Amino acid sequence: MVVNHNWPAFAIDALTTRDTLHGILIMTDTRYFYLRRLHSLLGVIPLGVFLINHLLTNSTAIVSAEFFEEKVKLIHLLGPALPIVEAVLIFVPLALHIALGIYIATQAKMNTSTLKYARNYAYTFQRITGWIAVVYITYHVVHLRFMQNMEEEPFSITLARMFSEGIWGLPGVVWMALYFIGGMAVIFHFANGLCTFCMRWGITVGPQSQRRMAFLATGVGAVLALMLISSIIGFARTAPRLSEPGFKEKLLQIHEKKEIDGKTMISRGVSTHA
Amino acid sequence: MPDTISLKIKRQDSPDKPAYWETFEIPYQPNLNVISALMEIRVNPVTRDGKKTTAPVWDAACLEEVCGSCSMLINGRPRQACTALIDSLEQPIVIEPFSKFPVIRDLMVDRSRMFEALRRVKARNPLDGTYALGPGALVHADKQQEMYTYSRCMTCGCCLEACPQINEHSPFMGAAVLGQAYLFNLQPAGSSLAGERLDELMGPGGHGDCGNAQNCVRVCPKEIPLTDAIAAIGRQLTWHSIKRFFTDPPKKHKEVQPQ
Amino acid sequence: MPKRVIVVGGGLAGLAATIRAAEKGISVDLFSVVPVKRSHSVCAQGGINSAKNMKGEGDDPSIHVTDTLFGGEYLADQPLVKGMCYAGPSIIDLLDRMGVPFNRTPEGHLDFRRFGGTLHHRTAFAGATTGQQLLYALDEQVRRFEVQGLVEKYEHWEFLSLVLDGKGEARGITAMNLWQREVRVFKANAVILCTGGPGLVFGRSTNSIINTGAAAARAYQQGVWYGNGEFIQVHPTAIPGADKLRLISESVRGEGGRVWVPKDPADRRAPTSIPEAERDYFLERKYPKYGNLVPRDVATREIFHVCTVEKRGVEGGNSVYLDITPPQSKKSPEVLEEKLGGVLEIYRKFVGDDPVKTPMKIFPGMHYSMGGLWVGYRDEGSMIAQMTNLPGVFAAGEAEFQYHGGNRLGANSLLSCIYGGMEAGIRAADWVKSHSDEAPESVYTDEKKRQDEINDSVMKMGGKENPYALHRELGDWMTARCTVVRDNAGLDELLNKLNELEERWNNIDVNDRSVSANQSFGFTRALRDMIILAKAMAKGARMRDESRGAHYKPAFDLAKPDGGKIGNAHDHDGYRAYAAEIAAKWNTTFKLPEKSTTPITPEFSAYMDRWIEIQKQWNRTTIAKFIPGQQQPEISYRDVALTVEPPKPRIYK
Repeated sequence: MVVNHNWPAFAIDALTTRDTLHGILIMTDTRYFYLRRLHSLLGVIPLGVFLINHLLTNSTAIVSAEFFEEKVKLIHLLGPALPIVEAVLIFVPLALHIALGIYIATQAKMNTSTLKYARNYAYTFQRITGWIAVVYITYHVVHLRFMQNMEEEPFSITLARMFSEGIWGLPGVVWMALYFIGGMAVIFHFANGLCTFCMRWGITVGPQSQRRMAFLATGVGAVLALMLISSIIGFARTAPRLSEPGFKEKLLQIHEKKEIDGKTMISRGVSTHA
Repeated sequence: MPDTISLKIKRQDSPDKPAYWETFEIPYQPNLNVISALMEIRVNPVTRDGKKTTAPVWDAACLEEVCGSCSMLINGRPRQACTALIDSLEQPIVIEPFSKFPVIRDLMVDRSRMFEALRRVKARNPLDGTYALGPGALVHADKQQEMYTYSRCMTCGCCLEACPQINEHSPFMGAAVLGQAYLFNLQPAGSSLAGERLDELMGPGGHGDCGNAQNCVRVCPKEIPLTDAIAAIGRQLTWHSIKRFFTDPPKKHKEVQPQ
Repeated sequence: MPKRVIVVGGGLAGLAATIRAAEKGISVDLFSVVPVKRSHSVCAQGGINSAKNMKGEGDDPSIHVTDTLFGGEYLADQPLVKGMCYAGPSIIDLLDRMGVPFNRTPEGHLDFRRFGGTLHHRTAFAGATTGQQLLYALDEQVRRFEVQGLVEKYEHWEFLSLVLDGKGEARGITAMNLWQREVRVFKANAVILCTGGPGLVFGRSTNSIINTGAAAARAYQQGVWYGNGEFIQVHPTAIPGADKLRLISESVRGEGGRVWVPKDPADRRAPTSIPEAERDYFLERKYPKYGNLVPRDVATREIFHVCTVEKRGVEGGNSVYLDITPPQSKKSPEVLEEKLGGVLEIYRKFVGDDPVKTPMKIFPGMHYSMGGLWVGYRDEGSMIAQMTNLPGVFAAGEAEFQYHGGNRLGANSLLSCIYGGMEAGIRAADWVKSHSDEAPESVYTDEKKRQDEINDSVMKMGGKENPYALHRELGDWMTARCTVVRDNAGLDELLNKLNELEERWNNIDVNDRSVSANQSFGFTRALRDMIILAKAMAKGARMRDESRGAHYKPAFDLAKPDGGKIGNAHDHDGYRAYAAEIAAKWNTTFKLPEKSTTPITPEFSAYMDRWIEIQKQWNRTTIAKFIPGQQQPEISYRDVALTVEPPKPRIYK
């Protein structure tokens, strides 16, 4: 392994990862092509679709904590199947996308210092935002998926507290900034990924169609960014209600309700109680 | 107007020796290109500090930007030295060899990987032979124009040098060869090898390694629409891979053996 | 001994030869100083001639033969010219099948355009880079044989010498790896030299800077005759550059471009601010009828004269204005762009000025050598077409002297390269089939030792001269005295100068002692060969006391009778007798047109008498032989094979 010492330390560590990945994935012959295409595809389906859904749900926090918790509850319609669905549609694709992504990112030798072109910047940012996303999503999933006990504290309250008084010794404004940066990184990565997806699969051939796609992706990115901002503001605006008596119980109750709009809900909270 | 031209040249005595810099100054003349300046230096190879040195070594042939020899990094930009006019360059003009290819000496690099890549993707038209077999197929003028566009690729390596995906960690063959693969898939005779060509581009170093930074198309001295070719190859590969998945592998194409 | 052919040079001729030999199942070792795709053939712009008659003009290969012979003032051996012109259409078909992106008609057929020296649309073209397209197409075919293991390419290898046995027969070559300076012997019983032209002998030319002519010069020093060396084509309009001369197409003048210089040679104003009255449109002044569209050689001579003799070039230098700016050309910038886009682009890119806004600065540039290694023109007795006087040593392309006589027509060079290369390839393949005996090992070890010794001695050179400065001197002298206008006094001076340069060569400081890609060393070695080749050209020019094609000696020029007194050569009895004499000599018959009834003028008759005399003396091939130990080559003459048609006076009525 030739290590380029101009690289940041984390990238050098990752280089060894790349070789390991190469070994595990056996990226030879046409398998190479299929894995690269797989990486490209996973970024859009299911990960991109999930991202849109996730941000859409979160952005409802701007309406009210109750509204948001009801939307969260929708996903729990799946009940015991949820972990399987999560694994198949989110965690496994995400893990593959990250593994292949690290392989790809460590192949790059960025050169925006001499070649200052928009697409070259996009290429560089795609890799930088990829790294940010890996760190951010890992933290995000560990914290809010695995450390979070929904029976004790709904998301709205955790996030409201996080964005106001702060947690783990970091003030609220820092958490808001971190979520904004992390979220924006993921959004850029997705929006630019849409463009490169279309180039890679030969959907957009020629500079004009690629420019049209870039406008479209920018639009998608802007909408997602608005959703992100509305989520962060929404949760931050919930903060004053933390002192509201019975607020937490009220939210927990939403998850315990068996019926919403006449549909039977089997939320995790309910099922464990039963 | 300055009375001298100052050139800072990155030098390296042989592949295994370390690189070093030397600065030269030559009297100003209007309308010089970098090649003329280098020629001027070798007539009197003395550095700005008066140190006698060897004449810098570089590749050049046609000096009309059609052979692809004189590729260098000039003020950080990969380009042909013959069309790099001194009057349009900031001084001191910094001249370096391409960084993505092994240095042979000074500004001379080994670009044989590009020719090997052409061999790998079967960038050729399989002919029965060179004896008289009548004219070729009729070709529509639009298609001819498209083929001509890609056929002007002179294997200069600027697109590889500019590509962030080309480096010691990556097997990527580079944009030039993808352009040529696209060209030969267009050719009436060459298209018979399209399947094999696409198979080759599915492997390591093929189409999958393009990172869509699109620097290739920006630095190409012949303004070849390389990214169009890459996207078009991507489209061909999409269909090809589906076809390949649902069909048994094609029979190996047989080329005519010599008499 | 394994059947193997060595091809030196990877341009069109070399690749064509390689393909033909490999197609016969013969292994080929292909040597080139650069990757073959960077050979000088890429520079050819205009197109390739072939009488396909695709425009309903009744064109025919026989007319192509006549145009080629007439354009070259009948100095070419005719059998091969005929062979080439008749093979033209099938060569175009072949290139078409190879996938050359030739321009197309709306229906999808090959398009053809007009070029100099003919009245027919005979030139197939691929944009403005026909040579590049042809070269790439042939390279792709060679790659096919490479994959099959029949062809081995040695790129970045320089030819050093032929390996010849005691009988002077080819046994292989020695070559040097330019990256490591390693000399190696390569064995083969046939060698094809396709090493291109000698542009660098003239310092700056329209040639690539790899065209030193050194390889041909090395073969010449080993005994290969050098034919018609004095015939050097100079193109009237090139962009002078400090590094090279770049061609500007004649079509610029066709679209209304005017050639001029300031009346006051000391005038340093920008051309656009020089008023009309202070400009000298010297071509229009001297040739009121043809103006700027006088024939190429005339334009070249006039521009050259204004700059070098009258010293009236722009800013006292060697250039004149070629003015296509709209008020001059009477065409709008849009129309100019549409018709001359490619040409204007070259000027913009290399000079940085816009020719639509400011006049171009141009000067004639050495362009092509009609002369080269002597090769046979038909298979007869010991003569084999494309084979030199040394058995087993073949030559093709610009490196040899066939096909173009005293002056080459535009777009004929690509055809001659491919045709000559293919002919050489077939014959070399046949040759190794019948000449497969093994040479004693000492033949090879001796030659390698000789080359190692030369290299060692060159590496040690530590005198005072800089090789590149010495080369500039050689180029300046050759350009001044051995290109457009020649006179015996100047040529004598030149020959003395060449002796002096050869002497001073020994005092070169090679300076660079590196083994790795040592260009100073390689160039120094080649420079000596260039000086020796220059002597063959200069001596040939010195000895030829006439004007023919590109060789113009005013002192011996036969003034053409003026328009009113020009008649038909075939009405002249002396001419008919001369033609019959040639027919008898070459065992053929010529069909001359019937004599017309109008009597010819005495002036024309006198002109014809003198013309026939000159033909009898000078319509002969110059042969330069290198004599070891002698400063100058030995010049002799061979009869031109006039088997197709008798020479005619080159008067464009």
